[in-house]
Amino acid sequence: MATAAAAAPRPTAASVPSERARDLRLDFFRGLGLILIFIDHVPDNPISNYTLISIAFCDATELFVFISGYTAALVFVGLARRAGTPFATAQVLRRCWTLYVAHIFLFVIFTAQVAWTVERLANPMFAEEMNVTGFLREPHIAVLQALSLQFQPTYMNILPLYILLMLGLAVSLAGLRWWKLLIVVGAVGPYVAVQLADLNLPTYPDGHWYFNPFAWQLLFNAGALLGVLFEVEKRDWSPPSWLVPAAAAFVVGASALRIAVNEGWLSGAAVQAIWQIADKTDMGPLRLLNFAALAIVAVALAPRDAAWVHAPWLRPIIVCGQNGLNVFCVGIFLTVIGHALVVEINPGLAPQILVTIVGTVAQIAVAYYLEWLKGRGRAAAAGGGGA
Amino acid sequence: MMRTPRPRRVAVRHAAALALVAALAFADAPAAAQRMRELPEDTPASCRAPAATIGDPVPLVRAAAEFRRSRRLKIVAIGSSSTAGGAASEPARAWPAQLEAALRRRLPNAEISVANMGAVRQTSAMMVARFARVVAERPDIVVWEVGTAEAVRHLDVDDFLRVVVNGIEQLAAAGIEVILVDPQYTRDTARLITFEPYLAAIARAAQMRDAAHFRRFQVMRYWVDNDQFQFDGARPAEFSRIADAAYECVGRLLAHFVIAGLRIRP
Repeated sequence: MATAAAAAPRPTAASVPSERARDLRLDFFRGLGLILIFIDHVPDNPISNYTLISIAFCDATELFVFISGYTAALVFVGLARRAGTPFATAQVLRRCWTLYVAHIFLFVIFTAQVAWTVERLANPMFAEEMNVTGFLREPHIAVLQALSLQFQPTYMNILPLYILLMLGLAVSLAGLRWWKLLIVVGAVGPYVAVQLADLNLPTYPDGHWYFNPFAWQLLFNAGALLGVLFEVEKRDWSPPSWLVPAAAAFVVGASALRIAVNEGWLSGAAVQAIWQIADKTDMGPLRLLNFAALAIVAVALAPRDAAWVHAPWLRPIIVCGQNGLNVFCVGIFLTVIGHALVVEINPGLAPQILVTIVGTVAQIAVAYYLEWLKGRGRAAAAGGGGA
Repeated sequence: MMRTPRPRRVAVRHAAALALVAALAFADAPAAAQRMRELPEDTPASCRAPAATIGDPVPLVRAAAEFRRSRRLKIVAIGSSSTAGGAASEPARAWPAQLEAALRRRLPNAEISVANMGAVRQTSAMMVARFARVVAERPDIVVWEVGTAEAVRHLDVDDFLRVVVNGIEQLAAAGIEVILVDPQYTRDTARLITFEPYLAAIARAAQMRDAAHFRRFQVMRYWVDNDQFQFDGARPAEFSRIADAAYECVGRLLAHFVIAGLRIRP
């Protein structure tokens, strides 16, 4: 392990262990997940017909949450081993704070949008829709609800989940190192409870979290646990010979089922039964299994030392993955802007495709900018005592 | 784990093959499903939208049988503010009344009535709570406008789906066929409100219970995108004129959709 090189963890927001030890596939899939999330959120985007949501019961959100757990464990449990659990916990909390600030930033954007539109919404034809401005009538409550993560209007539902997952990591760091069974029980228990009973957090003014944290934590914690086992503790495990073919068969079967559902070939009762186990809010078991099968197939197709991860044309996606947190925040910000633009510009495919391309390029540009900053920061630190 | 078969290309090929299968299946599906006919000649230019925008008609079997027997068609429209039609210059210009007028024009020599049970600021659950009164009217068809209150208040999509499915079942149990109408569209509201998951839930509920789904959101979006209507930034003096015109168009297109459903032989 290249611990010596990273023995003194850098106190930058993006402090990661030495790059030599890093599995580029993680960065690739994380970057890919981030870009796909953005593409899926551009309204009516024809390109989203070719992403996971049209051929599987899971989507890029699962990919992102799982790999975030895996990477977070790799980074912070690794850090805890080198610099102690309290310091690693402090670093996790610092990331939570960054995410929280981004969440409040989005709230400000949303408020500005609503305030900007409220005058024009005076048309009584849209009296019902005008209720969306209701929170402006009680700003003292709305602000508190946003601060406590309970106000989750348009596009403000992913960050609260991520913040909560990272807060959970701050608590579970020690468990991930020494009491893995406790993590398993603590993750599976709430998930099962969600599937059997109504367990979720409330939102303001009414409703529940779109991404039920009690359910979605399972994927994050599963990723974290596997990250600790494979990356930090370097355990070796090769899957039994039947696992990959079985997973591949599952992926193909699920694709066929998803297409049948999308095309309306199934009876109403069958569709209902399928959606009951493929619920997105509670991450139904079908979504979970579909994602697990996809992950197994992907790992089998992409071995650790594959040459393709070093291909220069994949580099932008990998750089995105390496700056996941910031690219994620930028992605949500671009989603809000992109949504407004697509609504504003005239019909046809052009605006969606344009917004998709510009947004993706912007995400990559931000990732390269951060990468450059990191490189300069390192050079400066090496050159003269660090700032 | 052993091979290195340039996985990305394999994945791309896999996705492309699936997309092709999906595309072929999609190209084939409408042959089995029913297609909308084009709108009648006398439809005003501002109302026009491609027939496919309106949605796929679903056979209204019972209503059609009853209509053939008695030449009578009774419809109840239930929904929220846009059904109640407070924005129109008078109640007779809300879309349910316009639907009635359009149906009467297109089905002469028939007894047609459309009752308006719209009420402001209602969630789908509040409407279902009023279904006893709807059923008491003994309609053949209920046109049920749903989703706006839920989307505006960001309510749980799955709860919404359950309520709509349950509502369709209640009406079906009373021998009533259902046409779902989704929310209204204008750019200002579409920017602030995430309608997509609720639109998807409405489509899914319709699919699950073989109900018809009138895609008002898609139709109004077509109007706005093609400059047939401009709802944003209108002057207050124009409000009721625009509302009257839009409701008339919704009524005409809905009538076309109802007739398509009556004509299908399952």
